[in-house]
Amino acid sequence: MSDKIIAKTDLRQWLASLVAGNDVIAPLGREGGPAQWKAIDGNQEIDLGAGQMVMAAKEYLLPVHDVLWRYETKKGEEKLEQPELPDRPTVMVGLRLCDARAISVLDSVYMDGRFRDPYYATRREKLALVATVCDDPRWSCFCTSVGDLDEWAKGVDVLLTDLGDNVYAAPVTEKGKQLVQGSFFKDPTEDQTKKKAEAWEKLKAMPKKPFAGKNITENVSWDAAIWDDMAKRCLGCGACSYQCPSCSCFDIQDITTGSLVERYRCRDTCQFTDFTLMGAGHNPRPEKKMRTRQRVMHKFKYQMEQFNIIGCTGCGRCIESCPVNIDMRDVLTALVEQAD
Amino acid sequence: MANEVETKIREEAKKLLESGEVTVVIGWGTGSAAFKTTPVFVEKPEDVEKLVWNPACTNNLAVYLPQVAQHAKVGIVVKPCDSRSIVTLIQEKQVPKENLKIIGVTCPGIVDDASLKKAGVKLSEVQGLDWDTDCVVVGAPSGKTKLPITDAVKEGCRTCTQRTPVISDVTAGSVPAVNPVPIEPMEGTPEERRAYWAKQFERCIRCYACRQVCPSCYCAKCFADRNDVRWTNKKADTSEAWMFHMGRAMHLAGRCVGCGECERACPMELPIMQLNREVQRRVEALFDFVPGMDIETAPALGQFEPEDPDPNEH
Repeated sequence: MSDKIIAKTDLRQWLASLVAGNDVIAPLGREGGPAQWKAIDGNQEIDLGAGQMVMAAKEYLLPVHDVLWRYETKKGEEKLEQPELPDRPTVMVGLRLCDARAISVLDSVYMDGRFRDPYYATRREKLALVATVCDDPRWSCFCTSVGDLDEWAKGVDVLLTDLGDNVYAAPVTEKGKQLVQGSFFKDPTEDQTKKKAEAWEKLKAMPKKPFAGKNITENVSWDAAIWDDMAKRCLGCGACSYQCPSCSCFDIQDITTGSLVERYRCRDTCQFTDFTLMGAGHNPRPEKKMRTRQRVMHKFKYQMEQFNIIGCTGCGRCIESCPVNIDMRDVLTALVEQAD
Repeated sequence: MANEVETKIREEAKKLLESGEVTVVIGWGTGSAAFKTTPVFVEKPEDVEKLVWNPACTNNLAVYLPQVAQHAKVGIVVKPCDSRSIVTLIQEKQVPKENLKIIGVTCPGIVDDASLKKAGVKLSEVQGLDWDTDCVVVGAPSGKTKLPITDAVKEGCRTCTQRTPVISDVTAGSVPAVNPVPIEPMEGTPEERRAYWAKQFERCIRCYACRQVCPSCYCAKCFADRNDVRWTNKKADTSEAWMFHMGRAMHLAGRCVGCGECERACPMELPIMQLNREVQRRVEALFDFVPGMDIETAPALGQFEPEDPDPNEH
């Protein structure tokens, strides 16, 4: 496709032009706490770099509080409201490649052909993904050890590479080509194309973990010793999965007041005891070991068997948010070492 | 500085395991990065080398006791704040005292990811952490940096006045001289505070990391999890998060030892310690009670005297 170059000083102009025809969702920094995905109006300062801590992109596709419908009676009048779903094309900018890959994982769950989740799918079908190549991985990153970045890059619409004063914009899809338009885009020089390729190779050359290149799906054993070790330390909070960009589980709850019923979807996690608690009191996963194992088995085995995709993108959020330093990289290393 | 203490911890743990006085020693072990540690459960004398002591030993390990020490003899390594949690757990009959062997360590203050970042440290470059008199020493490829303790420690430690464990069978380390930051009453008018806290609670994602790391949050069924009576909805919005956090703060009145683990664990960086400190400050002012200092003094809200002050009149 026709790759382009844009000066960093023109980025804001580009974003403004995107805002004119699309809803644009970008990581907006905030006081106290990770940056969050918000619609921008083109005037904000956006960090397209990949080093900052940003909420998982599911914050947009699967909001923490997603109203499915609301029914209200007021002075004898009945009102049924449906949620507002986007009717304009939407662009997410500032994704990391792992974030974009996580959306592919979510797609497999929510739009797999047999079941189409209308809330997720309506947002997703209108969405274009603009990702940035990481130049400064965080201490917790391990994307190159769980996936093939060349493959992942096919899942975005535009891939940006920071070249210092300029940004290299490579459209990946037809949709992406439409986004890389405007007089501020120039054709790249040979040198710029070379630098872009170098940045890509540098990212791919990130130090690999012992489990890289191994068939993790086959090594995830139901009886591995690591489950006991994890269960001892794990405190049973939901920080790992709530921050995870590809954890997709939700709960549906009703709020009822005298005149209002609201049905909403919210986050839920296999790490909580009540996740599998049945109405009559039976719990098929009563022990912590079963719950900690479940999250890993789901990502590396069940998701592979069901959708042919690994449910982990190595973003490192679970590692950074775990209060007892359970590190997914250590867990995977232990699993492949046990199997060897 | 940490090395002698580490050696002492290992010696004591070894003795306890070899003599069979305990079946497990809970302590801190090497984490997956130089600025991390992870809880370890040492069951064999030859494994005591796994135990470490450094400025990243943040977990309040007392959180494991209600599960682990009900029916087993357990050794545990504790900082001063953690030792206060043990006192609270014994008082509240969550752990039988006779089941515990406590290895105490004196503590100059602990760092966490957030406090290091705030002090200008790039986490991916940290190679080691130690203390030196009133400094935290951060090792990096570019050399060692000394950070004044009060600038480098996690939020819970900034105001801590307790440098020695209040309960222990042995104590390792000399008493460090560190001047804590004084605790001030919460600022602002009620309206300003309401606006401030609405902004904080807005971020909460209800992952309950704050509750799960807290030794005082041991309820078998937290009010926030009940669905027979829905005290608070599961949705992550400001008013529901408000209900949860205020509920938790009130339940911790006279029970929070100020270890700061809740704030450290919060992935959304909620300033939970501000709430807990304010509640404890008021409990102390009203009842002259500081939680977890000794087993004999009955907890402020665990006893009733007709002469007790009425908070509404203060």
